[in-house]
Amino acid sequence: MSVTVRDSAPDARADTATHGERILEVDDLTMHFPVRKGLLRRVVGHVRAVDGVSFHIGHGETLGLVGESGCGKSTIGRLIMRLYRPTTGAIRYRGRDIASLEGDELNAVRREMQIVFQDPFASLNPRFRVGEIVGEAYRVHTGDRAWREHVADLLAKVGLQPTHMNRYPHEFSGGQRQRICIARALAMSPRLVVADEPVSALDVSIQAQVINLLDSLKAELGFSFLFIAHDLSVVEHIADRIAVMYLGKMVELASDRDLYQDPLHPYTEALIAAVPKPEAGARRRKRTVLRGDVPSPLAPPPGCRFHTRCPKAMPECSKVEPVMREAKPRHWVACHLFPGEAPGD
Amino acid sequence: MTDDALLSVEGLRTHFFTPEGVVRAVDGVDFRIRRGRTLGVLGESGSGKSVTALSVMRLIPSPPGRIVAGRIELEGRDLLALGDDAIRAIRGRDISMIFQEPMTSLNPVYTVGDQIAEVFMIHRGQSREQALEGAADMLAQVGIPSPRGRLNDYPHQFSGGMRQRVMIAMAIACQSKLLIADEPTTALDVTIQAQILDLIVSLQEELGMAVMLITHDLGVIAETSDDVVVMYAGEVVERLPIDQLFESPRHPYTQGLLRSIPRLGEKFVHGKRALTEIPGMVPNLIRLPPGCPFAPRCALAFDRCRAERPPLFAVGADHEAKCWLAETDAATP
Repeated sequence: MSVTVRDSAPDARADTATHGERILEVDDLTMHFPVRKGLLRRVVGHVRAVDGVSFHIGHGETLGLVGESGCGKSTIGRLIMRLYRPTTGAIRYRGRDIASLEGDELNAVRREMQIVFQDPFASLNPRFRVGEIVGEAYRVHTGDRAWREHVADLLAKVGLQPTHMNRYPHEFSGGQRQRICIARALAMSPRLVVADEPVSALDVSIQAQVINLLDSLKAELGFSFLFIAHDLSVVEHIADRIAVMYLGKMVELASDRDLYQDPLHPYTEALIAAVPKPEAGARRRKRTVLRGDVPSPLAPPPGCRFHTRCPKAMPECSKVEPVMREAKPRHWVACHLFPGEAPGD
Repeated sequence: MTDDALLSVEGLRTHFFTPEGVVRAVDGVDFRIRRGRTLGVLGESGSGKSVTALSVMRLIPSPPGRIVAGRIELEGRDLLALGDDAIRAIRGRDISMIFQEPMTSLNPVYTVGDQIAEVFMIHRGQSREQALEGAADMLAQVGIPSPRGRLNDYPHQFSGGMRQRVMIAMAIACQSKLLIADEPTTALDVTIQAQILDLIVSLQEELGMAVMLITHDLGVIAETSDDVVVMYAGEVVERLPIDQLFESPRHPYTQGLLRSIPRLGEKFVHGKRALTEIPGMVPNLIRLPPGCPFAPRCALAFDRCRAERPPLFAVGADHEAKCWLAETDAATP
């Protein structure tokens, strides 16, 4: 039996007809986590993890989400999977707002989206065999008695042996465990896959294996893909478009090429400059190093959140918060240096 | 190169004796660190790079660990022959070390000022007042704003990057000759990493200390190091100057690593290509194969590689590779 993987092409066309070209639209999404203190656990403030973020993912597209720790990128991944309920904002999956769905309706949607986490040691139950881990959802949802064959096919697809089905997670290396997580994510033929730092816990010589695997599975199965990582080189390699986040805000969104060749936001420029270059003469390279630390998301700076570290900050940056504008065709940036077209839709 | 060697390590073997068997964490490590220069030690987890550093500091937990063979010489003094008191005097004064996670290396119940001052009190016999004065100077030198005011702060009141600065301040307090930095920026964000790498490079130039920088990141090596050793499964598999690392690496593992990493902007020059993978996985150090430890993953391996461990062959000026393929070059001078 071959893996019953949805043939994406006609599906995408059907979707395009009914829901436009987008599988996912995120609109003004906000997630504030309450901070509690003291004996009475009173709410003393809010961590503004995600604060008014909008973007979309096209059918079959890979969107890269990049930013440093605390920028809100993982929270966005979890919001889309509806592991959290957003404070405000809409998450439209195939045209339907799933931000406040519950129960059976939510479960039905969740079947079509899957997530791969960073730590393959923490995300596999040590007491289950690999076959059960990968096949559980498929078995429960389809009742297919031949589920083991489906699992065998999935394991082969991610570069493992069908006989691995009977082993436990601890018998595998980090890279192999991440392959198991990927097989589990693909078991229900998802339309949307979220990968949150899928290679950063792996050894350097293993990272390329997993990046290539994700890339080829995506090309073969045609799912839409949100790839979240802190490593700009990895994100650029895999993504069609890239969104850059800073302290709960999206600051720039552009095609992979435009973002690299023509970064507009000073933070994006700094991020590109900060990536250590694996090449001869890098030690003698002169570069602008961003000063200071990322401020606390409990009390983000007024105006542009980046102004405290921005080498190009102007007086208005500490007073007026910039909004995302289309400074160049399909190249969006939230910075007062680029007063482009205001958001239309 | 031998003349200006500050630290030389020869034939180092550090093994851990566990119920499951002997873990050959370091099994044949040779390198030299020149005065005032930076040696980058490149390796993945389990390559033995941290155990090598701990061996130099004589900080291997025993049992289960033991240095079973080799020489470690600092300015000609055999560190392995020193008694506990003598090695303690060297730690912090001649050789200092910073680690990946600064929070676990700082004592949470002492102020940052007291922790730095302790270095001066122990190694210089200074009074607390003098030492605190020195601590404030150190904090200023590593770029911590309003250093005097921060002496009374505790480690948790500092951010990750600032804590690493505090660690560096402690490490350079006695103007040690050698700073060992074990993955000093791995836990930090990339913009903070850039700050810390710049700080290490500029302090080194200013103070003339040698640095042994341990990392898995080729970019970090490129931005800091003069010389490089590449480690795999407890062995040094290649030693070479930094520019040759990128221009003419000889060991198949080094070549594989260089090809496997995505580089910014690459896909717009050459078009998008799949990354070149190194197949297989890092070997188990208890059951190493008899020949070259990289042979099971090496596309160029032949029969001899699987049967016999290669020695380091000289393949150029200051360039050696532990690979049978390098033998022919070595034979013809």
